[in-house]
Parts: sequence; structure tokens; C-alpha cells
Amino acid sequence: MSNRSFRKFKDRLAYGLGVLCVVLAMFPLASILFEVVRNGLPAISVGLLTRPTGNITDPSSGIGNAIEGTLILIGMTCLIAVPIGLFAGIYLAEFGDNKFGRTIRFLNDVLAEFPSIVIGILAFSIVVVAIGHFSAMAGAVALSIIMLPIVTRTAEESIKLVPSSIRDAAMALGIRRWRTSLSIVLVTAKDGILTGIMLSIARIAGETAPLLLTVLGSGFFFSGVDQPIDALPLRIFTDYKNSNYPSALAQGWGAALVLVVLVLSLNLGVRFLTRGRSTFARARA
Amino acid sequence: MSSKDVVIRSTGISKSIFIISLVIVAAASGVAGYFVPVLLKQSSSVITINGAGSSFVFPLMSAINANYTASNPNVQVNYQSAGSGAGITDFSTRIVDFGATDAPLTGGSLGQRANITRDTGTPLTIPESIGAVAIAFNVKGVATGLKLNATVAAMIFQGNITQWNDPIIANMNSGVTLPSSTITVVHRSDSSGTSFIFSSWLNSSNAHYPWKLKVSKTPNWAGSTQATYLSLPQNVGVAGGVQQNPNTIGYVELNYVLSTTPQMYYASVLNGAGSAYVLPSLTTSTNAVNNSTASLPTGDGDWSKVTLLNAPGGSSYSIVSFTYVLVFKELSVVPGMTQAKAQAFVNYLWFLVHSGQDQATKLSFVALPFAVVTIDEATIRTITYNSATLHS
Repeated sequence: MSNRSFRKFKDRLAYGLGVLCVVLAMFPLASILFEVVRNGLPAISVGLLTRPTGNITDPSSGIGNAIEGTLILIGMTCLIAVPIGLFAGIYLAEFGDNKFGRTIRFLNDVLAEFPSIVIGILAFSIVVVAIGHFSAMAGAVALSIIMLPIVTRTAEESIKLVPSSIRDAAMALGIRRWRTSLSIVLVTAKDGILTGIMLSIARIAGETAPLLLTVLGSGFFFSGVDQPIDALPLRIFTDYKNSNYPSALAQGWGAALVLVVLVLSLNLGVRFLTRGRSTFARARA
Repeated sequence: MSSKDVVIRSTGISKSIFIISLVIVAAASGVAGYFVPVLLKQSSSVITINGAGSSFVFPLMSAINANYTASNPNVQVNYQSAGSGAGITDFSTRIVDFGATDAPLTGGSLGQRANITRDTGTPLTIPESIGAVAIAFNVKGVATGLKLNATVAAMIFQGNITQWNDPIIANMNSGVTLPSSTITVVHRSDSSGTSFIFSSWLNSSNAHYPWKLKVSKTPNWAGSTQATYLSLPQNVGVAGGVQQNPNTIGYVELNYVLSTTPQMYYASVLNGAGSAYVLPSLTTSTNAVNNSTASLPTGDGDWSKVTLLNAPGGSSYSIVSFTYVLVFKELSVVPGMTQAKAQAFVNYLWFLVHSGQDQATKLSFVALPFAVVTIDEATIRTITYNSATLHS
């Protein structure tokens, strides 16, 4: 075997191993999507998507309350986490180049890696026990602690990407510092910030552990932010435990499909929307 | 370079404006957060009663509660399966209106809690359903007809017997061809009322072969080195572990065994009288309650001594126990309780032990026998709100 053909062989081998690794890496995703669609699609019906759970053993019961609960929890979480995360991100990007800023940045990264069950215990002890019962609010507090570091970090990174020439131009026109930050830098960086928010929503939509300790779950539609609420991940867990009943099994797969579609469409939506908007922003600039 | 520019350009004024705006946002969201629930609460007239606990009764409770709301649209009883242990904890800390548990309260589990005293919160125990534990198995060539007693089961589950064709099992099961395979014991990995009931029964084994792995919601499975174990969560996990692996034995709630597909195989168990081997069923479980000689205490009494295990009677199943709802006798100790909610709650409890029991049989649960309902009625009548009774 000549030296050249041996090198060719090595090249092919490395290429082949690379392809094999890609296939292996894609296999779990593909098999999850396949199984969820295969089992979930037959379960999906208008009734399943719109009716509350009520009696889990009744074939006509649905997951409407879980879908509603997940959407409400996402909304409440955004109300808490987005303003705080956004302002924290602005601070870190614009004023954070000092010891305090570096400390905050480090702590923020630590928080982002925190196990979500620990955050659930925190929300349990400071909200559930303090109020005296499980509530949607407690769940939103737990989820916002998970969402906050992601929003903060992506906001900071997006704002840092804004070219300093734009800030200089604003400065040259005599625009005040705070006005520059809010009306010019923030607007320019909004695509990145929006992406961060949507990705963090995709992250919290599937969280189960913190919800187990805070929102309890419910068989009924929303009845107040101070009352227990249902969510898709909780519904799937309860349905799994009762999967000896065909109705619960169908609900579980249906809820899994809805959750996967929700998270996937958030991820795909981010790509689609930001692509459109950035061209728009560029055309305007 | 740009980050250096930022430091140079930042001035005291813009920083303070930034901090002020931050404070304003924080204050605004605080105020909004305070008013949103107040506004929403005023608009809703629906009474929500929350309970948590035993996973075993969850399907039955969800059916009963949906039925109750159908006839009482302004009352929603929300029960969630958090597990018996969580049910007791959440009830004791009063973050739910009622708890449900397969293992009764013991003096200790309440006495240890400083926030519960007999003065402010007498807990009431209301038996609301009956659980039976089936011994499920998957042995090649053995479909039905496996017979066991507490002693042999204890020996299997703690590893004194490790082969299916052990002479002790073979003697009890003449006519059944047992393979020479190692027994794999499937048990619950989570804290479970089912483990508590089953280990209580194993503890009634012969004195020569005592049960050594504790009577507990979490028996000390690690204490046995001989047995081959498979540890899985929930009834669904143990049932799947038995069905998917050959030469296994495990314990699963009868309700789960009866309602699952494909069909599971389960053992006959020697009755309390020692006269016959009895298959678990709704009928033989009801027989156990009706024939039980256990004297049942009042609702505020100690139910930890009550046992339905090894009840007398030729056709009584041996591994049977109550599952309970826990409520406070004086409902005003529960945060957020009102006169209207307390009244709705007591009406619901009355429904739970009467018409609610109609749901039991079709979901493969054991309906409460009449004698137990009578005790529950007396208990529910003692519930008060601000010292006034709610059900006469």
C-alpha cells in the first residue's frame, strides 16, 4: 500500500467516524420526535385540546387546562424576569466593566447552572409556605429565577454587539447617556434580546421539578394567580403514573406532543423572526 | 476598546438615572403583583378546595371530584397525587386543605411538628377507600396458580430464597412446574404507601424467618445481600419491571393490576385463618374489611394501630388496608378558610364517603363498607368552623 492511498484511507476513516458521530448525536432527537408524533398524533383532538382534565379516567377528559396553565405561567414569568433581566443586561453591558460587574456576571452564570429542583425548593419556602398554599405565583417566581440569568446574559451580549460608532454618533448629536441606552442601543440590540427571551421561554416551558413544589397541578381551568394551576410537564408526569388507564395514556402522549411542538416552534420561530427583522433593521439603519 | 470607552463615557448622572429607573420598575412590578391577585380574586366566585397525597387514590379522587363539580359548579375540589408522605407533610404545614395517605398518621409524625398542637389543630382521619396489594410475577410456564404465604414471601423478598424451584416454594405449589432460575425482586424506588402496606404484611411472617428489612414506606432493601433486586418508581414502574423481565416478582396495587393491559399474573395468598389461598379481588378485599375484627377508633383517635391484614374469614384477602383523608377538626386553622369554603368542604367530604363511592367499583377500587361509612359520618359531623358545626 502506497503512502498516498494510506493517507486517503485515513481521511475516509476519519470522515466516516465523523458521519457516524453525527448520526449517533441525532438519533435521540429523531427517535423522541418519532415516538412523540407516532403516539401523540392519534390522541390529538379538539376535545383533548380544549377540555379540562377533570376525571382522568374519563376518555372525554382533556389537557386544555394544562395548555392554558403553561401559557399563563410563561406570561407571568416573563412579567417578572424580562424587565429585571433586561435592565441587569443593560447595566452589565454599559456599566459593568468593573469589579462589581464582573462579580454579578459570575454569579449570574452560576445561577444559570443551578439545578432547577433547588430553585423549586427556594420558591416553595419563600412563596408557598409564606402565602400558605400552592399557587401559580409561586411557580412563576421559581421559573423566573431560571429565566433571569438567560435573559440577563443574552441581553448583555446583544448590547455589547452594538457598534460603538452608533453610541459615538448619538453622543455627537448631544443625546443624553440614558436616552442613548434606551432609545438607540436597546432598539439596535432588540433582535438579540428577543431571541434570548424566546429561547429562555423554550427552556422554562418544559421545566417540571420546580413546578412540582410550587403550583401543585390542577384538574380545572385557571382560577386565580393565588390558586394551584396545571402545566403540561406536570400533566405528563401524572398521566404517566396513571398510564394503566387508556385515557391517561392518550392525554400524556397528547400533552407531550403539544409541549414538543410549543418548544420547537419557539426555537424555529426565533430563527425565522430574527432573520426577517434584522434585514428590516439594517434597511432602516 | 469599546468597553474602555464605556467606562470613560459613563457619568454619575446617567448612572443615578439608571438606578432610579430600576427602582421605579421594581416598585411598579411589586405594586402590580400585589393588585393582580386581589382583582382576580374579587371576580371569581368559585370555591377551590385543594388536596394532595396518595398516588393510589388519585384516579378515584379525580373521578369523584369531577362528579362533584358537575353537580356543584361553584365548587372545585382539586386533588393531586404527590405521594402519601407529601400528603402528610403538606397537610401538617397546612398548605393544602386536606391530605390523603395510605399509611395512617402516627403520634410521632404530628408530635414532631411544632406548628401543630392538639389545641389549634386536631387532625381527623377519615378512611375513604380500601387498598389491596397484589403480588405480581412473571415466571415462564406459570400463568396462574402461584401460591404464597407471608413467611415464604418474606423469604423471597429478603433473599432467603433465591431460586424459583426452591423446595419451599415447590412444596407449597405442587402441580406447578417452576424453573431453576434466579428470582429477581422488583420493588418501589420511591417512598410509597404500597411499600408500607406490603412490608407490614411481610412482617407477619413466621418467627423463624422474621422480616428484617423494616416496616416502612421505604424498606431497607440495601440490607439484603442475597436477593437480586430491581428498583423502579411508582406502580407503573414496578408493573413494567415485572412484565418486561422474566423470573421476576413484585408488589403492585390491586387496582393497578386489574386495570392494566396486557394482563398481569398475580399470586394467591394464604388467608388469615390459614385455611385457603385467596386471589386478590374487589370481593375478597371487601370481605377482609367486613370480617376484620379490628376495632375502629373515632376520627380523632389513633389509627396507626388499625390493621386489616390477615383478616379472618375463609375468602378474605390478606394484604388489605385503608387509605385515609386527613382534615383538621377546626377548619379555621387552615389559611384562607372562610365560612362558605368550610361549608362547601364538609358537604364535599359527605359526598366523598357516600355517593362518591359509586365511582369505586367501575375503576377497580373497593367501595367503603357500610360500617366504615357510619364511622366517617360521625367524624364529619364533628368538623367545625369557628367552633360552629357544619353538618348536623
